[in-house]
Amino acid sequence: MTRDAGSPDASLARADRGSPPSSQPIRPFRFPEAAERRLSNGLPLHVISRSGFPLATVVLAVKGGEASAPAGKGGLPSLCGDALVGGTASRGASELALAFESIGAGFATATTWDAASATVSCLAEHLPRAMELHAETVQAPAFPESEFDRCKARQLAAVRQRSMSPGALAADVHARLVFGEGSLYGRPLAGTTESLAGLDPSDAAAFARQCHAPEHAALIVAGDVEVREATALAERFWGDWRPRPDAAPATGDGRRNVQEARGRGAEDAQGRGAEGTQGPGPEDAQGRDAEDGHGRGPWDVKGHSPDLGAPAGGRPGPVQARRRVTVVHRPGSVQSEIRTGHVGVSRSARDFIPLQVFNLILGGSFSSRLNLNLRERRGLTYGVRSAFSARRSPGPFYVSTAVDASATGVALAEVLREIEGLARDGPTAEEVAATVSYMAGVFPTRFQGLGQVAAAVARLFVYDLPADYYRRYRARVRSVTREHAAEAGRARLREDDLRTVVVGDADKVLPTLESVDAGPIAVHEDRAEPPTDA
Amino acid sequence: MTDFAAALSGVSQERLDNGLRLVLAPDSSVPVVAVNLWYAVGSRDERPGQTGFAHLFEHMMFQGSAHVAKNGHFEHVERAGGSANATTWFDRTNYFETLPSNCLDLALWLESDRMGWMLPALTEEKLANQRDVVLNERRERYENQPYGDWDERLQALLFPPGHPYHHTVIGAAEDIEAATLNDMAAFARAHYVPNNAVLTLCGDFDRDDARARVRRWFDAIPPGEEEGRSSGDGEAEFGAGATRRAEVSARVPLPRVYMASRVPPFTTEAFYPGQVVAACLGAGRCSRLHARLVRGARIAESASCHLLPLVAGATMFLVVVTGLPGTPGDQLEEAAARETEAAASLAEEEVARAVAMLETRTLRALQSVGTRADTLSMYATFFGSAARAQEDLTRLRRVGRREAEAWAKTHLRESNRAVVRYMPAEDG
Repeated sequence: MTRDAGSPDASLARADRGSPPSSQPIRPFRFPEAAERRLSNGLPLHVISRSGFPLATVVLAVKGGEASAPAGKGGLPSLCGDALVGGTASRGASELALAFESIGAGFATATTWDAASATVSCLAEHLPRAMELHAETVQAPAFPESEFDRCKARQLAAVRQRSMSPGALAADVHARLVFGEGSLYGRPLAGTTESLAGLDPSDAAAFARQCHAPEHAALIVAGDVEVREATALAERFWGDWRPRPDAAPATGDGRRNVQEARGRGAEDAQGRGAEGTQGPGPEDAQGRDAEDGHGRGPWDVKGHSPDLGAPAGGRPGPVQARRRVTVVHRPGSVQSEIRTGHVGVSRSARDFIPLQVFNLILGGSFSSRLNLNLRERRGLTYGVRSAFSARRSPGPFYVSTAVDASATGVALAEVLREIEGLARDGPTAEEVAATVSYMAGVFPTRFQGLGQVAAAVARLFVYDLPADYYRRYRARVRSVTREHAAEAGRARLREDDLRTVVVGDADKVLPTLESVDAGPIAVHEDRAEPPTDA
Repeated sequence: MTDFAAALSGVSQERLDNGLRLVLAPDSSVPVVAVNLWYAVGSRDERPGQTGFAHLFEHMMFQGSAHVAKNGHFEHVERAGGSANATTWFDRTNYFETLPSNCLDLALWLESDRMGWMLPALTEEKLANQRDVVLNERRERYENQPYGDWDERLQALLFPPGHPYHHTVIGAAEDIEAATLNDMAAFARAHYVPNNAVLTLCGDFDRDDARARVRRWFDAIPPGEEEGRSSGDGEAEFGAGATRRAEVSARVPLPRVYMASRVPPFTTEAFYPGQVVAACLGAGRCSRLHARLVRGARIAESASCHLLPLVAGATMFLVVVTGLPGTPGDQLEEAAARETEAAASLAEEEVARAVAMLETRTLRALQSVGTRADTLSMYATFFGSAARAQEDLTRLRRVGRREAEAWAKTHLRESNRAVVRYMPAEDG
């Protein structure tokens, strides 16, 4: 960028405060180019060579997240990933941790519904050693019993902590209400007390054999390293990873019945380890990530008829249509945690980008209709948001907020009104233009760190997106019109099917809900028990 | 050897006629610019009966100014493809935007307008609205969360009444409710003036061009009165007696101990051995707390250690240990105390490991132009020199084992400690 510093342009002459200053010409941004290779065992390798910071990040991603958990063993994929730090055939847990940390390297694992990943982040000068340790940790886990038990106890404690955090509890009860009792996405990502209790090291070893194999994996190296050197290191440490043609992670249907009686949890990633690492799972529709990308033209929503709501998989029982409310009674709560929503869309939804635009306008940004109304106009809440959480199978659409107990009814009524209004009339052309501009503009700021770049490339692999996905992303965003966004919202929002959960003091909450048209109300004690009227 | 110097190179610092300090750190690797503004005002500057004002004021800064409508700040920045936010802490309040670099003027216009022309746009209605928002924030993050009031309890034990860190940033609900427009105006005149602020730009711009743009937007804002700040009561107060404790039976899932000591602040040389000790105790799986309490004795679900970068006389060294279900509170607290005191004896490898962890962690964070700008603003505010940030890692590496041990021995004593212990209430 060269500008003549001696003669600043004419716009500098005087400060006109009356209107926003015009912008300078936009400067180009290209998503970092990834060199693609294949190792001798078939493992795909992506190298992003980027200088500037003397750092490197390595991610090994596998298609085999919580959706691949064997029946009744919810939480095993997360636990398997977590327990990798328990040690290898040749190094115990302490020795392994010291090997990483003595060079300042951070090792972390993360498990989402659709994928698991192991990430190491280090100074570039230590990359060979870090890759050696990273490869050994993933390829030769020993799952010693004592370490496995420790990880299990931690995961059980985390389940307990979620059940006592009002926000997490609301999300978990809501997931079950939306997806149905016994369904995959209706249970917590990290499993339940029941599903975790019976797990032992042999389960982790079996799951690792099944899912951690070159056939279902990709290796990403990003950082201050030449492509040639990164490729040689990858071949040296990963080229001998034995292929397992028989290995096959199960893929999950979010509504399939997995015979799990209860549970909590609806977050999208479970992980432990060093800061600054990210899993390759989906990000929700907050403009931070994108969908579709198969490049086949207009936003075709056929084949996604909004007939969802009943658990699939032959589970008997009535279709859970029409609105309903569950109040989880938490005596003494000064606030109510509110969630409302229904089954949303999958990662491969053809209208995902226009739907992102729609969602940003509804509740995905500070300037969204929901936030301007509930927070900035009425002062009812610290914040309110909406999201379509996209996974391989349709994930939840939800609105979430926390309000003073006495304002529960007013807040819920306003949420419903905003959803109805936007679904009916669609966004304005001005709203769509501003949102498209936001999504296109914010894109480069999402890839400043190597961890962000590596995680983004891993996502292309996990969701079978084309290699040029991010290079074409901004053009796709800019092609979204008001009609596209309105159509996506109309197709995906089903305001008659909204399921609502309120975690709060029922004595204070119930009177405020009397005049709200949110459906019949069931009250439950402060436990994540399923509603009995389902 | 890797250093901050490379990551933070090309930093210049100057002062405008109205006293505004300007830090420029060009880096054109991504077409993005971070605009970061630190005001040297935080909860420590609040008067009795006005706790929470610094934070409430931060909210009001997003309510528009003479030339920007209510909500205009976020709408303009989001439309430009940027993100914006602000945070309030003990010693400072920061405002920041990261946006495409061709929209630099927009951020400068917005920040200068609320620095110089915010008061004409203040109304009762806006104040009432944000009072409600902040009270809801207080309920959501402090009152309705397990362990949500830990900092309120711990600060009150660790810092005596009258100390600037005695009360929390969020403040007391009744103080927030009592805030008036006059209070807000007085607060603005005292603290929201160019000579009490640092503006840092980091990212894709030309230095001379950016300087000219900054001057165009900020030069017309007059300086305010220089106000002295409360400095805290200094080192003499360290180790003022026996451990001060609070036991809380509450609706929490697991037992948890918050254990804090008053230690030398961010701006002293003694902060560096403090950082090394904190990393020996809490950074990574080989850290003392993890290795001994989480992996070894298996009484803890997790454990961490933090050294806050506060500047008024003293800062807080904090150990947090969450017990596994059923761990007795005494056992948890004794273990936390034992390991904290045991930091008076460290191995050379532990110190080397801690420094290596800090090095990688810091560099990783600095990849973001926003974090880099914030770091430079912090050093410019607290040390008077943004470039001082470049020396940080060198100083950290100079810390020897004996120095770290001596630091732990001096400051992590039982007599210099406050403890808040949470135990799950019996299910009723």
